[in-house]
Amino acid sequence: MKEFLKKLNLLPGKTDLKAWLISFGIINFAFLYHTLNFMWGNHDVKFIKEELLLSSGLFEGRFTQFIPYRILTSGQILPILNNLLGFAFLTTGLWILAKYWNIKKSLIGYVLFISFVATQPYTLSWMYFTFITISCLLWTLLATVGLYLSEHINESSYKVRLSLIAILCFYLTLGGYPPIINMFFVCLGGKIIISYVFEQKSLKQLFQIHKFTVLNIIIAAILFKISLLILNPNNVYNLETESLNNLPHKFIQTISISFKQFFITVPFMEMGYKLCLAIMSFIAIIGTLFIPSKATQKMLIIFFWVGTIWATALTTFLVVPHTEYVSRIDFYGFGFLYALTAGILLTLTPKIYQSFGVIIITFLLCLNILNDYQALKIWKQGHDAEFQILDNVVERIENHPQFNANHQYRFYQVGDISLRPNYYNGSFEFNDVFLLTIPYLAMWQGGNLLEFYTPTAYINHKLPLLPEDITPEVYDFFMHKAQAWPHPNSIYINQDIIIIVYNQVGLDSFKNTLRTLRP
Amino acid sequence: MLKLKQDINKIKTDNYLWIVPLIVLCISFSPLLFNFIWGNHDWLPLIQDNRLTSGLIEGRFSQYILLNLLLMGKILPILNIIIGFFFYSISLCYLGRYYFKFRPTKLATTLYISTAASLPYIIEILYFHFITLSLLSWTFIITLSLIATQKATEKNFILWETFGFILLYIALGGYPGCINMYVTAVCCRLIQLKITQQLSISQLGKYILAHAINLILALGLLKITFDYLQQNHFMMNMYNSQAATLLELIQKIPTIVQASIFAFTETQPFLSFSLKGILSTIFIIFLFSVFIQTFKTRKNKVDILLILILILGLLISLKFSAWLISNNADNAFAKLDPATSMVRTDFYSYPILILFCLYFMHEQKKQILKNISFICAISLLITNINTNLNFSKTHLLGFTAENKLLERIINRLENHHHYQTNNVYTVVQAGEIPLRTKYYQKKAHEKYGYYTLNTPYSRHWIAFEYYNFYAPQDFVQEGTSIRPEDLTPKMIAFLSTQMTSWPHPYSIYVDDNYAIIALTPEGKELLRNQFNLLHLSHQ
Repeated sequence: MKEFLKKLNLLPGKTDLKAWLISFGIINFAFLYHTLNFMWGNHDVKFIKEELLLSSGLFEGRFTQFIPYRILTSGQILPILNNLLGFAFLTTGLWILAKYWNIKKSLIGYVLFISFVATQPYTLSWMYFTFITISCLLWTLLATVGLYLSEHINESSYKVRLSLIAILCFYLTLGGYPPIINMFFVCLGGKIIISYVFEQKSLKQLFQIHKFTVLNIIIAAILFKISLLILNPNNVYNLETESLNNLPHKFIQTISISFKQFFITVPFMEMGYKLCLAIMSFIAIIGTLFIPSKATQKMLIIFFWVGTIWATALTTFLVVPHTEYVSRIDFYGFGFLYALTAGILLTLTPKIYQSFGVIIITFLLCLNILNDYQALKIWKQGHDAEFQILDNVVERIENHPQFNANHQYRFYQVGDISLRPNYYNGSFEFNDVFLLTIPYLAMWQGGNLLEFYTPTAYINHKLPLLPEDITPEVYDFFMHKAQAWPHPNSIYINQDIIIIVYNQVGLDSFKNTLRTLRP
Repeated sequence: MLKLKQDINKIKTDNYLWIVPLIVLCISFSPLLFNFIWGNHDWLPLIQDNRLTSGLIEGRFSQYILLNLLLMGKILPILNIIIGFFFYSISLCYLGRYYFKFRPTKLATTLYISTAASLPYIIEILYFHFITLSLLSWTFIITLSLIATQKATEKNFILWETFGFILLYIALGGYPGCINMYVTAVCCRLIQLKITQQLSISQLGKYILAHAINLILALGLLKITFDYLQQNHFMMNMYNSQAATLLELIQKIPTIVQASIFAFTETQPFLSFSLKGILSTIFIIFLFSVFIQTFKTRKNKVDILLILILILGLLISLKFSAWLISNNADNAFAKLDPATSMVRTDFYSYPILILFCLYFMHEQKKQILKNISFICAISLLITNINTNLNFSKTHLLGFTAENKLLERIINRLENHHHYQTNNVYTVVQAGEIPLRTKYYQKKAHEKYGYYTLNTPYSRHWIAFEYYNFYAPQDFVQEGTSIRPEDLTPKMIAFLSTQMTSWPHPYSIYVDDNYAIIALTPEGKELLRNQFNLLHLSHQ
């Protein structure tokens, strides 16, 4: 094993180990408030109490999503460990990426590169749902291992073995979260730019080396598609791909989207911060253009950059649903473009670039940590506020004269309450639900949430609200008397049903549904 | 002087050997470290200090010495647990290096100590805050006692023996169940000496004598202390002070040995089948390597018999405290079953055994044994961390859920139309609702799990402690019984017919003196039966 790693130049030296440890410490510090306060998202409610099964992700085609959880925690979502393991994988993945891109090796360079990339607020998007944190951060490690091994196939005597491992890495990550394909091609694009600019590799050499990477990704993608056909998942909202006819139009559209990403603001990534990132990126890009002397070479580098930037929106290009400016997808896309530009700045000559790189990346790392802490403060306040409402709702139900804890009620939650935005006063052009607005008390989890802390189980989870539950009395109540929480008429209980009205929008929509039932 | 310097330097180089297990323990129980969660006996000790004499009632006269010395008798978040972890980690480290005198690689040492330290037997120790520090620190005191007694066999017999005896007596005075650690470690050491150093029976006899004298003296003095405390009414005649007779001890041997062996397969909450599977594997391979060594180096039947006796002794020592308890003990906890399944007493024996087994296998010449030992330790460590964090999560969620329920009950009491702000009530709480079970996926055939899972955070007989805890002024007085003369027609109507369990509106009754809370259907029925008896006798 030691020999194998040595041959691949993956045996960590003292600098590597130190860099890993310091970066791991910085990353954990950036998200410490989340690690110490056990908060979970609206998909996690049941999984926190029960456990994740291997099959839990099958319904949406994410067939490998829970393998890491089964192996590492027996399917449990465990406080502290969830983040620690995830960050350990992310740190290792970024260390391999630094090696893959041949970023100039120094303790400060590696620490800044790894910490800056990992603490970008994009990472927060994997922390809202605790049931996927470990997997989705592990995918970055597997993806970089796949890329790293694929690069070494050309010169290795173990071509088949390396290919098989790389394909397995790509396949596992695609099976867990398909938009990781962005990361494959952004990192590959980055590698091509770095090889061409710094290592003076010819196009022919680049083709010889990287054809294996492309081939492995294609094989993994085909296997992924075949697996989906076999599994036939029920919910394909995130797997619906564009038809061939639409692709040319989508291509143009995604070029525009990919470049707009430099300036589009989302929660916790506001204009000042985005401008700093853009300045860092443009200086790195321009720096690469000064190295070759010929105009054709410069043109080629521009072409590579355009391709790499476009690859950050590859998922948006391939799938039907809108995936642009979504932080969890950008975590695998635009986040790695920033990583590439940071890595290039730390490697570029003359040294003035590197000095500038150290200064701006240190500054951006501080901004990352500030943004992360601001986000986590808001998350905690929102979480506490929403759960306080849940406590009050539970109390109101228990005190309701019609309520009998021994009954099994059909339950419906009208609307939901998202309180994190109440604590945020920043501005952004595109909202990102995972970073800010998705509620903890989601409508579809109402029953599970209501019973989460109560001693009695009174919700019938098998049967939803039935049309026959809408008796004239119920109809009349919701048409004329019901009000949103905290009004006394926000809760309706009879011998069969419990309905809670959380907000006016939900109530209006519910009224419309009732009208269709009883025109 | 030079020798002292060398010793200090040696201890310095051993420093990080206990730092790693300490970090592993802190990570494993970090949700408990950073969220202040306490058990059902802790409500009052959290507000008031634990005095030196607080443990006398159950004969635990030394229980609060360390808590008073280190934390002024206060239960302090983080510190309380972390100091306990410190003593526990350092005790396992010193036990391995200075008592068993193992010298494997530093990596192996840290791995084995971390694995043994994080075994989930510790979880029951962490339920009650008021005893966590002392229960964990007894391991260190006993380790010192063992090292001192071992030293007595080499030089200054009386001095070291006295030192060892005093330490053992203090530890037993804090929690008699920690005797298991002493005897388990002694049995392990005797097996080690017999196998690796091939000591003769007479040489072993000297060794056994030194430890036996300490044990008998400490137990004897403990019994005398108990008698004195009981005669002077400091101590109740408790279940843990009733010792077995000599005849009982002989009769109980097969049962105790059986219980020790079954403990390797018997599952309990958080002591899962996979965990027990790894423990059994380690123990079986250890026994196998002991027998291989015995038959390889000795043809003498006496030696073989001696090894068999020592293994029998080891099995008894694992449940030594259960062996010593009287068959006629008057408390349910003291009966042989569940006394033989007490996680709290197993904490003092099984981690020691596993630490010894891992070390022992690692010290063997065969590389395969070293490898097995390493693999078992790693897989056990991963299982331990997962289990401990799962326990912490369950503890955290259960505590939160029960406190939320208490808040709702108090809100209901305060909003009751008969509730008077300045009144002081006797609260009669019928039933208890332990909610940790809600967050634990119980597997089939899991036995018990008192403090690890099933015990609620609020006990009905100390209702005043937790109902007053967050209240702006004490509104509940001590005591839970209804005096016959206080029965009113309204209360009679409530208790005899209206009373329904929580959260029904008729689950709460309030008058000028009493607040009755019918929390569970079982509690309600029990209260109604008690009331009927009271009412009949009063009529």
